[in-house]
Amino acid sequence: MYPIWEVPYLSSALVIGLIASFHVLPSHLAVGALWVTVFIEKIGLEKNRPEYFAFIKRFTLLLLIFAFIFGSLSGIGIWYSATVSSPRGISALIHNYVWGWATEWVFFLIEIATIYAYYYTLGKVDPKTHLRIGYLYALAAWISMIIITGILAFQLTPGKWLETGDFFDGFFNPTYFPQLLTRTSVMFGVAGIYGLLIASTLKGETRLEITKIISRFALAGMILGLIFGYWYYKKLPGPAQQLLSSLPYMQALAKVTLIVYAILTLYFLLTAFIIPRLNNFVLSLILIIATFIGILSAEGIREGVRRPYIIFGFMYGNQAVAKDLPAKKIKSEVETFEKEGLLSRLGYLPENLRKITPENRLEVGRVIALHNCANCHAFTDSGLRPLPALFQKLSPQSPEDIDAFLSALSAFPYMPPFIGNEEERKAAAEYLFTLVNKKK
Amino acid sequence: MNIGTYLNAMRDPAGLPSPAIIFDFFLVLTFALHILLVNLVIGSALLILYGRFSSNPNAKLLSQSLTRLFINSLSWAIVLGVAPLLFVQVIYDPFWYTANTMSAWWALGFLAFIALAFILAYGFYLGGGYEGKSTPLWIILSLAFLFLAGIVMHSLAVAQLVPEKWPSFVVKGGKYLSSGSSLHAFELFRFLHFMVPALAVVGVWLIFYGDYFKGSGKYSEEYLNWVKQFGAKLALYFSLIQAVVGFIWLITIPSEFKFYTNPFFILALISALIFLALLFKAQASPSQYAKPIAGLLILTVLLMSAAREALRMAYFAKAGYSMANYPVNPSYGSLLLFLATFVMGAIVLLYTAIVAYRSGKGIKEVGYEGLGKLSVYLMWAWIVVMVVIGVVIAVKNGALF
Repeated sequence: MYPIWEVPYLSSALVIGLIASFHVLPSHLAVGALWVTVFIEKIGLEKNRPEYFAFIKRFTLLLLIFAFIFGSLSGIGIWYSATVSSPRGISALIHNYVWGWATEWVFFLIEIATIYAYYYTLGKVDPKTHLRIGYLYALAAWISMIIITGILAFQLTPGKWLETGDFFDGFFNPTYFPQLLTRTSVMFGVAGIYGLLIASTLKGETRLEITKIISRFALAGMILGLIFGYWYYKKLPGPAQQLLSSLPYMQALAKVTLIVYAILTLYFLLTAFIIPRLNNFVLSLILIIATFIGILSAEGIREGVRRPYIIFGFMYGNQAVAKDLPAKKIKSEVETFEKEGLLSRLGYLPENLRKITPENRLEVGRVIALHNCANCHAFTDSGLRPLPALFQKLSPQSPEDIDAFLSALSAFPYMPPFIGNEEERKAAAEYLFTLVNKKK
Repeated sequence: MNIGTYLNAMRDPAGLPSPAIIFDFFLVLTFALHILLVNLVIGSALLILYGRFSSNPNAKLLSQSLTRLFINSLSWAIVLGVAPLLFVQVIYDPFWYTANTMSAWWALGFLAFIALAFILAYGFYLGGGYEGKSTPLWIILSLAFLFLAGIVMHSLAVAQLVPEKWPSFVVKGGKYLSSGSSLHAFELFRFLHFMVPALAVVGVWLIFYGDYFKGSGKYSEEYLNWVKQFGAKLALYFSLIQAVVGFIWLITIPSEFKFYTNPFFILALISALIFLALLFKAQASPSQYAKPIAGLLILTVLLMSAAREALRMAYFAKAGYSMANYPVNPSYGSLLLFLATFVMGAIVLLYTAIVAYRSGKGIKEVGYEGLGKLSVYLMWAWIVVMVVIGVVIAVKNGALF
């Protein structure tokens, strides 16, 4: 195991979650944006409306700044946060999908090249070439979604990969197509709300015309997104659906997602057909914030229903391999940890902390507890699923009570089993008992 | 458990999908491109500042016109950095992940620093940097954050080279440090060796800049000649400083590696010496030597990237780790997917580069219709092939409905 990182109040997994949720906004904007823009450019050329180009220039600049600073960096940020939070989890993904990511990287290069070319050459090259550059960007950006969705969906439903270990079996897994189509549709909604923000800064007829075009695109995306989203939901594995319907916080997240979705769809409906004049800077800005909250909730659900796994059915949140994969000669590690102990695998520690002694008992117990719990639980008194408060609810009278609880962890459907041998579990329990006492 | 046993035990249980050497090849190649762009970013930012504080009107004009280069090359540096970042964690995962988790906040801070640097760069651009307006403070701060990011990445790289020290990094006074709030290593001359070439690289760029705008009517002949001379001078002086820095770095490397006998190092050295000789010669008439200079610069950086890789292998071998022993579970299909995409991407990028190049020269009718159409067809073909494969596999696996 790698050194373990403890994040007070948040837990390390939430750091990934926050960055990942933020990333959805600029990334879906980056993917959807130019489909809309190129369409508007085409109409502008056909109808000879050069004033449409003001919109294109502004929208592309926003895209360059927002999507290409925050989008690209938050994308790498997910990777970095996973690196420091769940190194073995990201390692498992990378060692299976490295060529997938490398393929996606080629499209990143094309995106960067074409978006700059599109921005700088507007009005400076013949219209056909300019449109083509925009079109190439739109295709490259969408392909990057086609690729990354395979890896994201793999985490939730690895499907046949669990038997074969094959790249494509895992990539084209049961939730791949529904998720890809949902994201593809919803990206028009995300691009639409940004487009409306920019459109609100335009003047006169152009403003209304562009508002209508964008809103219709976005509305179509939102309606299709709903249909594909339902398909996606139906394809979720049974235990995931159960978690979604039984845990109150999941229910709350689902409600928020649906409410935001409904408001956004209604707004597009109004600005597309009924009162395009309604669209203004403040409203569209508020709706961008609402969209962010909606996405945060939806991604929260996607991450949450995967519990207790990082890769469903294969690797637990505590980074232990949960299942044999003979095709790749991988063995489940839970039993090994039970027999050989976790400390024997913590080679980054100095020798004197890899054996439990009366003097280091509590400190080693802390390290063991961190490896088992810190990914999802805060060790501070408050925060995300804080351990002191959770254990206090059990009113343990002694470390043995906590130890009994730890040995029965896997009875909870959303908890991974404790990893480590009996002696280590006892040491962890003793340390955790001190947290409860401290809180008293 | 000694550290070598730990390192080998931490290799990913899935093994590698292709032999390690393939990843290493792309690692060396993409790192070289990345570091060239990093140098261009830093070099252009320094020249923007130089022009701002110089009384020379040519330097002032150059400062303005480099504003876009600074932003664009920063984007390219970031995206080109993604590839080596990916490949390093495939073959050197035990080192990469340990170093990062030990300094987790800094690893995340690295990205925050780049984001801030980028925002500040745009602040300068949007404030009118291209027209000579905007306060240089934006650039000074942007550069400061870029240096900070460089220090973090450097520190993470160097911490990986000394696995035997890791236990002393993570435990202090019998306590395990779980906060990830410290950096653990720094080697001044190694760091400088990555930074000093910035002005040499931008110098070579300027020679091309002078030739590119010649006859476009955008700038005067006198200005463009000055830029070329200035570029050639920068390239020469900073390459000489780089040679000194490199020499000091070399003598700080553990002598047991006998690194001066390493073939990649020797080749890089020879290439660098020819590069220097050419720069001396080119001072009188830089344009005449522009292409060989650029070619040798790229070759030297590539060879240095290979030499740096050889040095890393020497450190890792000392710890008992070799990428060559990494178990392989081949995935030919995914490798083929990447290689085919790589070739396709090169074609699309070539077309885009031609459009940008000709447009920058003031040519409105770009032409190259065939190549443009081919690019679009290839992209669609890529999608169609993937969807067909996807549907076939999903149906076969009963995953679709």
